[in-house]
Amino acid sequence: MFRRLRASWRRLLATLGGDLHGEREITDELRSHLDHHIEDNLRAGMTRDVAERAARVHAGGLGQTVEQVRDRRGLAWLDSLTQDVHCAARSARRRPKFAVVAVLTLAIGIGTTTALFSLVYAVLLNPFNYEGADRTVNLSLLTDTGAPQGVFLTADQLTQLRRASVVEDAVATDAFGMTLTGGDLPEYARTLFYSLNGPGFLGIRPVLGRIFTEADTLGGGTPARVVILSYAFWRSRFAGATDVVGRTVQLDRTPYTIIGVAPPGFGGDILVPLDMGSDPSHAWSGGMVRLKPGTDLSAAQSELQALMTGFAAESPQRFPPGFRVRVSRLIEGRRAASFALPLVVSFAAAVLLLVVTCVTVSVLSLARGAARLRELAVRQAIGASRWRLVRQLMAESLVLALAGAGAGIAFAYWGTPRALKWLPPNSFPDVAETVYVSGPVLLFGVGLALLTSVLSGLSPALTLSRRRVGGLFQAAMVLVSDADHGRAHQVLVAAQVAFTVLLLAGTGAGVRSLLALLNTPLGYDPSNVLVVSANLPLGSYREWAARATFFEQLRARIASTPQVDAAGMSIYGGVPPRMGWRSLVEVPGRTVPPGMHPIVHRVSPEYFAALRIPVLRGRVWSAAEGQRATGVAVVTQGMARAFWPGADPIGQRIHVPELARSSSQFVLAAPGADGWMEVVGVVGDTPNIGLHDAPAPAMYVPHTVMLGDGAVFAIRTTGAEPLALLRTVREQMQAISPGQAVAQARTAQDALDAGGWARERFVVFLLSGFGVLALVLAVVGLFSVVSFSVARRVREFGIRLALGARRTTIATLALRPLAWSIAAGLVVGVALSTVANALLARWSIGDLTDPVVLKVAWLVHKFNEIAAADGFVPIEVNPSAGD
Amino acid sequence: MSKQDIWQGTLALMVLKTIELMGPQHGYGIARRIEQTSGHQLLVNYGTLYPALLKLEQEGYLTSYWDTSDNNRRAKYYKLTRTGKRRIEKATAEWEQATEILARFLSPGEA
Repeated sequence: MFRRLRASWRRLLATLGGDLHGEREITDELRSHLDHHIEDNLRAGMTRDVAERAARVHAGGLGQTVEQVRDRRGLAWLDSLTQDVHCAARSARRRPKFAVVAVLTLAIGIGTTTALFSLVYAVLLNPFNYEGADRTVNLSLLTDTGAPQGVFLTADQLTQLRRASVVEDAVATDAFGMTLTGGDLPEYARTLFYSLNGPGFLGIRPVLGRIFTEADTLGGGTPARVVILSYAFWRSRFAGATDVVGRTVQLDRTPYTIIGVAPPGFGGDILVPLDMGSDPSHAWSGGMVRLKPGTDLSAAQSELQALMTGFAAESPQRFPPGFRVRVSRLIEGRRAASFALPLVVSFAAAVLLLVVTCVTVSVLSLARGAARLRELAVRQAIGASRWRLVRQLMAESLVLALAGAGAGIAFAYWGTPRALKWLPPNSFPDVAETVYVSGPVLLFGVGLALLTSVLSGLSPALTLSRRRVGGLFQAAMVLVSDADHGRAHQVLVAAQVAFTVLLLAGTGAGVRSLLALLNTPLGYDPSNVLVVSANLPLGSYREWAARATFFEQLRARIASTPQVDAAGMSIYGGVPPRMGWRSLVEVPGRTVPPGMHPIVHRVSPEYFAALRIPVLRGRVWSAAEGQRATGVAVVTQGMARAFWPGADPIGQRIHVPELARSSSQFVLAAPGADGWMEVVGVVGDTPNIGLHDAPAPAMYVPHTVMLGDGAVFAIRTTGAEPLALLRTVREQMQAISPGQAVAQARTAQDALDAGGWARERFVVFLLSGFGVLALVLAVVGLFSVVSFSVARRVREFGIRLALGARRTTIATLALRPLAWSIAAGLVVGVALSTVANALLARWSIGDLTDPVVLKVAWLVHKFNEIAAADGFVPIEVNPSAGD
Repeated sequence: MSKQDIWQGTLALMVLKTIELMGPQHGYGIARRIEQTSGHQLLVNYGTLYPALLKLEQEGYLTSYWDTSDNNRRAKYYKLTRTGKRRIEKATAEWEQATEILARFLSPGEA
């Protein structure tokens, strides 16, 4: 075995190293052999003549031996493969038009498929570049109704969790914004807090400096004031300066030392140690756990259930009664997310497009191959085996596919990041900082090229290589094509039509579902609204009255800015299509079923004017009522119908227990708040749980009832570009509170786009693009087939025309074989669409088996006619043109 | 056995054994020596010899170098390597075993 490997290796080297040296050496050696022999013969007494002849006879054929040694020296198959590839490249150069069309076609297919695969790879296949990501699990609690809930642990409980026998390590996390000062205007930094073991847990290998570890304490469990910059933030805020390590930055007016820069892919702007020590009773999100290698999920589940049950006894308020622990791998959450299916569907569509491109190239090669029959017949006549011809033809398609893959991968490399820039961030997670065309993606692209060369080359190769030496001697040889040849064409055309129909049906369905989405009344006006959120510096404005006044000052200041029509405020909830979360409520005299609990928004009364949410009945509370935190509420029409069907909602009372007292250190309940609200008005519904679902019941209460540590301002502007006002708004905020940063600024339209609008649009745009491309390819394929078949029968048609046949008769004759292919393709395509429809029913997409299909059928026929008409031109010009 | 035929596999052993006995040798010398040893029952032409030499060299049993021969001509010499020597021992043992087994079939009376 080893010997053979070694021999093969040396032969490979000999092949790659070129034959010149080796070839000379063999001839020299054989020459020397012959000379020795002749000399011996002379010594034995022969004449020179006889001696030479005898030696030659004895030695055998020189040429053959050189050939044999050459074969043995290198790897013969590799040699002839190189030959094939060279030959193929020559052949492509000889027919540049065909080569360009084929390479471009394949580049489109391979490029789109590779681009989408790079997304699938980054988002679904390999999204976590953490160490031991496969053993990392999300820990959550399921309430008795099955609703998931996060796990919150104190410092001491985290220590216990980390010591559990199934657990290798666990981290506590938190995330909120901090204000970075020191620049022109204060800046908001998305901050990820990790317990000190966090960076080690994630296996962060810093590109600069170091990570923080459990050694970074100031004693007593208080972490050192250090910060790790995210890669993106380092590049954008610090211009990628290599000397950032050791610099001091002001975060929420406290100095922190930069100790390192994280590699791409870890999110956030900065990473800061979580201070778990200063308040031992506070609980932090502790959902991320890495299990020990080889731990069974169910074993982990039962041990952690026992541990959590113990914790629940210590702090019952954080654990729902009768909870169950759920342990799920990180990747599971990812694959169940809302973006997974659209992504997979787009990838499937790209694969379909790739198949269509392969079939198109097959059709083209076959039509072109007909013009090469003479060349192939000559090759056969001088002894090429069928296998050899197939190999040569396959080498040609391999060369085309590799060229196509090169162009396609370059296109994917260049285009993917650019295409994603159109999308709001987080339409697909984790892709912002990823290198798209990575090793595995590249490998995938090359694999596609090989697959493509087989898919597009095999059928023409097998058809064209059929033995037909006899044809060589027939005058009309060039145009001779046997029945098999025609059949291959028909099958390919049918396949092309079928896949095109499938792709178009999917595209049509996607477009219609987007149109349905676009036509859904929004219930508010997203245009010209600037949405700005501002967070209070950590631990500031701890008194309710001071905080309420401060927020109102900010709002009033913004409202008084020129070009601002109205400025409303919301605590945490933000703007549609996704706002807030459901809260438990109680209504006197009836029980509220679990699914009906409303979303409770805390807003200032101007919110409705700013978003143009119509007040349908009653009134909105006054500014004075708002300042007093009066217990009033405005409900949506949907909530009014669900809660008080047939009754007047105005004057009804509703109790929201969580608004009765502060639930954490970050929120402040109004003094004397009891959670009771009286309904004073009804407003229209707006999307609040995403665009794909009907609005959930919702109610609005004065924001002052429960103040948070941040506020979202919805600002209706008179200008066309709301973001242009951002600077002014920031300056207005500065004037009230120096150091106050804007956490996030976007338009209401951006929010709508980010809520899935843009992703849907993108997916539909992709699918439409694929559909149009497939249609174009179908036309190209049909055109080439019709022209080919017309060219083949040009004499026959000429004679028929001369004998008085009408053009329509000729058209029927020329198109009849294709009509069958197209009909068969349509039938198969419709059948496939129906199957795909069943598979896709889960996605919010329309019906693939609707009139779209009929339109496609019509289109295909239309193009068919056009192709046919073009094909007839030579007949009219010169009926006798045969070859 | 007709004069030209040499069993595949046996030639390699003959070549190795010849070089072992004669020391480094060129192709012509090896061919003549094999023919002599076989009592001129074997005929070794280029076509059999040189591909075999190349194969043995590729497998690492032989190395080659150019040198001047006894009668002052340049020739390519083949020399046994250490693995080549081991190969001879192994192949000889195998060959002896094979001929012995075959001999029992060909003349069953003596077994």
